[in-house]
Amino acid sequence: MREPNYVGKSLPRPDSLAKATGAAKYTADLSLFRKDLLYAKALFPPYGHARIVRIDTSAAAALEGVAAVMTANDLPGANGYGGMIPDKVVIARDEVFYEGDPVALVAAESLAIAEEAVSLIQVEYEPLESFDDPQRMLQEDAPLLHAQYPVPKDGNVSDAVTVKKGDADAAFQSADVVIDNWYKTPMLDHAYLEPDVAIAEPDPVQGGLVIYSPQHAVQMAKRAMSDAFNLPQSKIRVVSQIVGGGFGGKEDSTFDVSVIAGVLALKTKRPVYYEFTRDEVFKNTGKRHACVIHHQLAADKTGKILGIKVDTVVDKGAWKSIDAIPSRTAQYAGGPYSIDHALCRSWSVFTDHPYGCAFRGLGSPQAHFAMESQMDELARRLGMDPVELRLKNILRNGDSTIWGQVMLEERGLGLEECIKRVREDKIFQDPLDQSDPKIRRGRGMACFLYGTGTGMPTDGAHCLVQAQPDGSINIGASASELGQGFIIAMKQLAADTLGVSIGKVHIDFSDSAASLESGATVASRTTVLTGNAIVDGCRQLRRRFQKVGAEMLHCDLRTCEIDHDQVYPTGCPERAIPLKSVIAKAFASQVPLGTVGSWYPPMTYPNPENQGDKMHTYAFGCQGVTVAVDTETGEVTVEDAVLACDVGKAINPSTVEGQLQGGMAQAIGWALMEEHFMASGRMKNHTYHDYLIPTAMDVPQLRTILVEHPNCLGPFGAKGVGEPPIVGAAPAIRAAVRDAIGVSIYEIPMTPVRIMEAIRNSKK
Amino acid sequence: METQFFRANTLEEALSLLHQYQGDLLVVNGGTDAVLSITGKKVSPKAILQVSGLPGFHDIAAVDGCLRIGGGVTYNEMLASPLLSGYHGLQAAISHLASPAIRALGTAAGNICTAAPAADAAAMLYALEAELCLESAGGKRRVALRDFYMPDRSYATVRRPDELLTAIEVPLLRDGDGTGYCRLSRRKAQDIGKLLVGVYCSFHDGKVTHAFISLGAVNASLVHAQTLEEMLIGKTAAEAVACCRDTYPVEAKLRESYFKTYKQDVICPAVSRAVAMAAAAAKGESSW
Repeated sequence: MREPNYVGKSLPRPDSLAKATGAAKYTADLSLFRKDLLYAKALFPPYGHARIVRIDTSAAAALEGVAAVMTANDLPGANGYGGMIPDKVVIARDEVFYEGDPVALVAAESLAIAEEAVSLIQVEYEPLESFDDPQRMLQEDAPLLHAQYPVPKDGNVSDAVTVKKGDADAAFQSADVVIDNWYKTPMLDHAYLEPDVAIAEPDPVQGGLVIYSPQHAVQMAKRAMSDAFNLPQSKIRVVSQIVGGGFGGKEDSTFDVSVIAGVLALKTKRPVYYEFTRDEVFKNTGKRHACVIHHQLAADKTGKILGIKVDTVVDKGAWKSIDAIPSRTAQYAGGPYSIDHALCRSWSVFTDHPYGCAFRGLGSPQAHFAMESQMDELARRLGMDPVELRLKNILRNGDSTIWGQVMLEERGLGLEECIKRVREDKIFQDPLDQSDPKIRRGRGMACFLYGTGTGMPTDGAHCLVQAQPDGSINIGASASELGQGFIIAMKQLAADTLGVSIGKVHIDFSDSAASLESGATVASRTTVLTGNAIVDGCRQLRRRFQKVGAEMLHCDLRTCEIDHDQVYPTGCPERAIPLKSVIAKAFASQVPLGTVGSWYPPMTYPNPENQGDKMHTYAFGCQGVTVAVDTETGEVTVEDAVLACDVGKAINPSTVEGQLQGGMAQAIGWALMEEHFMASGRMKNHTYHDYLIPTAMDVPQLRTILVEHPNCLGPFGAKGVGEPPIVGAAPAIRAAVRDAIGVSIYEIPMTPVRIMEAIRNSKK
Repeated sequence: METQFFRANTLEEALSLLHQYQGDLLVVNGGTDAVLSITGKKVSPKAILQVSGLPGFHDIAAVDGCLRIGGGVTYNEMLASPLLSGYHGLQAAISHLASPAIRALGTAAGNICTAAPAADAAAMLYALEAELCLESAGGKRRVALRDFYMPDRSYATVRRPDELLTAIEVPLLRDGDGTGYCRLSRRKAQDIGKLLVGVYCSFHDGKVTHAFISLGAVNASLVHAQTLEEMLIGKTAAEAVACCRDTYPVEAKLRESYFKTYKQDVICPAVSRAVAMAAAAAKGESSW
């Protein structure tokens, strides 16, 4: 294959300039200057768990300018929606299960009228017992949160997953050393800049609805809400503008606003605008699941890991919708290491908290925080270099993971190189400045792996590729531009596959009517899965044009080159004819100018012990950090950070570096300051004033090392890189803090409060 | 109810409006707190009065043996003023306060009048023994900042509803004077401090002759650590720093909160750091 013209080059994202100048249109911008919109507002309960005794909406309904007031009695269809399981209520009927369950909806001629109308709705609640503690809710004698529930479940358990390999008990009996610790990780907000927003517009011609809202999955949205709208999926069109940050959250939360706008639009037969306030984004939308992890690790005295036993309890919150976290926390409980014996059990448990949903890393950060912290504790116990300990245990070609998947070099296994590159970095080579006795410095490392794709049987992608007679190309892809660089990467893949210049390629993105199902823009899957589908569609089209071109050039189609918008016999560029004349010829002779591109990864179906292949390839990485701990104030400063990540092939290195830097910054927040506090089902911190995320002052220059061990099945060798960069920093920072002050921390975020507490306890 | 908006061009006009509306008028002097109160529906005033354009409101000048900071002076104007560059503690308090955008709009006078318990500028000005000039249609009065706050109450001051804070006066620093500040927070910018310490010290022949220590974010309003101050008199800088490290400021009387134990742990180091900064400034060694 010839050298690509675009793949592997750092090209600017087409959305960057539009965003930087303010010209780009987000969903909320579509409401500007419109005069036909109704504005929606919902009433939410001042309780986590409560019974609704009585609702009186008469004063709200009587207010001038109110077009509709709805309670659970007024719904057009099912009172349920959700990504995979439609268990979230559109409007609560008798009982609310968390602060974000709507009790009544209003649509009015202005937002001010809608707000006033909501304030006039009288609701009498009977507060019910709060179910705050997932560990308590897991016990057999615990009261049920959902006495009635749309799908079968086991007590308060939303999902339970066990990964079992070998005989873990026997491995522990033969161990020289057992490391046994409990770890806690917090509930987090995604902190995306753009609040959840939707415009629902009835289709006056054929019936149905058009929903404009920032999405991760425009095709899934049709399925998630069709029963609630009582519409066939064909009559729901979902369009996502560029998204102002999602990080997985909008896979679920966009349905929360879309379904409300939708039922009001159907009720009023008017277009309805609905946007959450920031307060509502915090309290109502999905969260990263808080986890409690009991991690036991057995090793021999040389540092070889013999087995692990890991129990993870996941706070699922009030609703299920999508629940992949137990499977991911169990899968990743052993990190990127070759371990023969494992028993990893995970439960997601209902509580009266905001529902847990996808958040960059999807359970892997929690699992790796525990596992990598255990590796650090093991190294300390054995007096071993933590780097050598890792090199001794990492997955290599032919090794099997705890879920029984054999690692293959041809799918890209770059972890060893990542570790060695970080070990060579100045973080591990330069001496630490320990001149101030109050400020202690330390360094730490953590490794990880992260699968590309969901690993589920439905994981595949399809797209539309269509040439225009003028030589330009449209690609209909349902994936979303979240700021990750989807558009530019797809343009690079398409241009190089077809042999056209990149300016000829236009991506019609995230409009359900202009694309095919390609799965959600989650799970670090889009560049590889949608990318492969686009490569497939472009290859089919290229072959058609090679055939037509070969006829026009009187050459063999196997020697008919297409490059730089020109078609010529191999080795004879002087005979080139413009591609557009070939396309015009094809057009005139009834050769279809469009194809459907498809790709789905190979998979095996895991057995009941969850042994079998999951994702077809894995990104690997190694994070190194230097921290300074102020031992008098508990303040932790990340002074340096470097992330080496095996990305297979960086389609657009600058956006890949951006992903690595963004992941590190987000992980520093997770490690040091981000957490939601819940009490009796109510969120205690629901503003940016008291829910802290890192500022530019809180992160050092974030350095990146791109390692490329190609994935033979990925487009041009690529693996997914969206989520992996968030996984390593928390355990690396924990290790560095341990190195600095000699005290182990088992709960994040490592706030000054927790650091001082740990120092105080260590002196007892 | 329609809210009336006023932008006063003269002090008389402003004072007349304050008199007319009494407590139903919200003074906007930067607006970084006021806008939050309005959007949070904590206040719904009949009138809003913008005072930042009043004549002389942005002046900083040495007057009658003290430094007079106009009621509309923003944080950025304070940071840029050569007259305030020697007040290292004040510079430190302001430069880490909130964000660049807030510092461009927010004012020390507004910070003092909001009377939040964790107010950086107010905490340092309190230590500097600032005097406040309050004017109303009925006349003028001066109130010491330490007497301005209602004891044990947040967001409450002795300012009468018709009064405007027109200027803040702090002593001119003499040889041997130094100011220091220490704030502890959960992140390095845009965060409310969890502990604030302002220190104003005078040294003569290497010994402390005068000290004022303020503590913020420990209780409902700013706290004067008087007992500690008295202990510092006659000590060298090193002795003073060591004394603060070992002596819990009894006036702190920490209120119950998630952070109480933490604050207990860190209050002595924080005070000693602020004292060390003031001592270094007094010797001309501070880097501010």
